[in-house]
Amino acid sequence: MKISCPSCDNNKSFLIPLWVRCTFKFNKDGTISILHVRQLESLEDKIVDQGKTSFAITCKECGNDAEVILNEYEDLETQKRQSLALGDL
Amino acid sequence: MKLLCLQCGNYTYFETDITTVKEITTDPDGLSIDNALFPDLNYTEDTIRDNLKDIVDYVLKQDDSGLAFDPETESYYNRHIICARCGSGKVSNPIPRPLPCDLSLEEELDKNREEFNYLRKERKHHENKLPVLRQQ
Repeated sequence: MKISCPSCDNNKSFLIPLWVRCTFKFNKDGTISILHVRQLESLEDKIVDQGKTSFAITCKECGNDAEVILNEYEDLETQKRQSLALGDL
Repeated sequence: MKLLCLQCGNYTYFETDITTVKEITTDPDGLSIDNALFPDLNYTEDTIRDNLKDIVDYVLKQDDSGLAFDPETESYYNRHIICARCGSGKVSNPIPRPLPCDLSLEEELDKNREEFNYLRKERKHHENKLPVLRQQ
């Protein structure tokens, strides 16, 4: 898997939005304290679904949508298979 | 007391769903996911705190339109915040709201006239007992 930014060529740091369930309490002075934060979504599923949902992975450097390539060697394998097939002919 | 669970009476512990932001870092070993850190802020923590404050302020400012009707249980529930003790969505701002009444306004005023007069007398009683500045 490879994640990259088509705009600025960043391939290291990205931001992903995530739904969480937050448990909190009201203090006596009216302030709020957070007791617990629980993740509601699978990050793996979100990464794989990049481009299918409106919650996109964005580049940390420039803020544009990132591109997720699940199998970066797919094109290479296809080329190999095609050249082998041509060789057989 | 800011919010009240009508199911169990809890007014302290609640839960809500909010969005936050995490950082994905890629390296030769794979992906790692951690809090999003910038030089001057922890973006993950700040979004959690800000979004929680926003949703709580929003619910506290809402009137009855913040409640949705559930036809199965034939009751109203809060769309944003649930009780952390019993899990019920019957969480409401504990400000008494005027109930729908079959009486006309004039009939209602007549019905409550005695109570209002008592209240007015009570107020006058306290007004007369306000401290008076002594003249020198």
